[in-house]
Amino acid sequence: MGALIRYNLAAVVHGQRYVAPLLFFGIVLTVFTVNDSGPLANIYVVSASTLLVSMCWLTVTILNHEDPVRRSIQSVTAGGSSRVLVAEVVLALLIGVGLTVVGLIFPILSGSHHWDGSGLAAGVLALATCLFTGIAIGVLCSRLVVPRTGYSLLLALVVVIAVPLTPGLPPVNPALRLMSGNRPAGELLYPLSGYLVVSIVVAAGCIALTRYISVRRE
Amino acid sequence: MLRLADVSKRYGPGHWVLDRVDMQIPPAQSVAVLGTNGSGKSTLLRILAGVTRPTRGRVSGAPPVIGYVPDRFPAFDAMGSLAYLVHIGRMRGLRTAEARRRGQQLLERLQLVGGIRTPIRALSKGNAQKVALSQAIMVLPQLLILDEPWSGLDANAHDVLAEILDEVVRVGGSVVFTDHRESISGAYSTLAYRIEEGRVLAVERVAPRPRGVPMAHVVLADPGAECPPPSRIDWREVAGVAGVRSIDEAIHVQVHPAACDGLLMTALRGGWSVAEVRRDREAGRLGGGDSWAH
Repeated sequence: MGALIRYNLAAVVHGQRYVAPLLFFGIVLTVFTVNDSGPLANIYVVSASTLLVSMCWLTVTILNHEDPVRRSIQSVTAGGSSRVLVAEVVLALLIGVGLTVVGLIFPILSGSHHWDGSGLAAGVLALATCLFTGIAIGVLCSRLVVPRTGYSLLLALVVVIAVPLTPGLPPVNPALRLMSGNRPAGELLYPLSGYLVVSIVVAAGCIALTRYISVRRE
Repeated sequence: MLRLADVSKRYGPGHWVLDRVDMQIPPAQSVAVLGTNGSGKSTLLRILAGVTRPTRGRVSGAPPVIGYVPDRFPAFDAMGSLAYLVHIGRMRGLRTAEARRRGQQLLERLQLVGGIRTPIRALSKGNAQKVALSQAIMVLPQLLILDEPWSGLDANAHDVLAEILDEVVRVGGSVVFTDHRESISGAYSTLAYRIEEGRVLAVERVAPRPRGVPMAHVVLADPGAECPPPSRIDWREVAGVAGVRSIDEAIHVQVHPAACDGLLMTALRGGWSVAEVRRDREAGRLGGGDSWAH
């Protein structure tokens, strides 16, 4: 599995399509957090929603980086197309963890916030929720499910905007609402943990569905 | 042993590409799959490789290490060919140094032109095909599946490909390949199947050439000014022909011994003069280290 992840990382890096989503993440984070001085939980709403969009984009990039014929070679070599899908998702997750750390620390460094353990913990939970949801949407909008690139892009755009903006739709919208309120961060940890679990379940479901659809289409 | 039992395949609601296929790939055999363009050869190979699932029926007994060479090798990557092979080798469980050595050795053997560090997308079609072939044999597979492997390869690589097929078979592995030319499949296979309207039928062979028996070598010449000019014949399309070369106005044809008389008949009817018929001194498929153009 290590070799498989390494190959996909190398191929994605060579392809350079990862640059756009990372740049988007960096620019939005910089524009909205520099010199900010509000409560930490509020500014993490920016980090988390940017992470959601970037992770969706990045996941599509990673899953689509290889032509279907080349992907078939990879899956024969790896011993099954499911292993390739898992390797790609793990790669997206690893990059996403890096972005999560940046999304947590950058606002503290670039603005002037009073920060404490519970604020940071709430941030971790909110960002991780968006990380998993972003991967989930990205996997479902990849070529494995939507073969045409144009439709894939359109679908990803609509879903990634609709998911955080639809009132009450778990897990992202209620999590971000909690973060943007005035409640102390310590009170948010419990409900946020619940939304994180929901996001993990959603991601697992989307990956399983993608696998099911792509295998049927083979 | 890899077996297909009652396997059928269609894409969506379309017609059946493969229809109730029963087929076995025995060990230590080289199996040719014949058929016209679009007859379902590639689909059958994809099912054997496990890349495509059959709509109905069952595939069983797939070996753990399968090498798959698709009919085309889309090359959009900035990754170099050696780097790609090293990654493939690592996926196969080789250590990096080992994978690098094996990759270099294969690319040298296939005489890759364009550099082992050149991005794959900058390579010519034939050279990309050599990378495709190399990836499948980074570890010698128990089942090697090749879709039209001869297309795009130069004469030297043809010889190396023949050696590779032999190597896999010699260690008890199976080879399955497609080619639309009967001459090629006749020379390189020990079993053959033909696909017709979705059905896969075993082909009765004109006595397969036993291993080690030399090929026949026929030299054909223009009979000269007194006779009418000989007709143009595409020798590669004549049954049993494994190689054709043109030397000093004469045509040298290498042919399966059982198909030799048929070839002579075709040649004489076409107004050619038979200058020489002999058995190749060496048992090798393409004889004496010569490079034969197919």
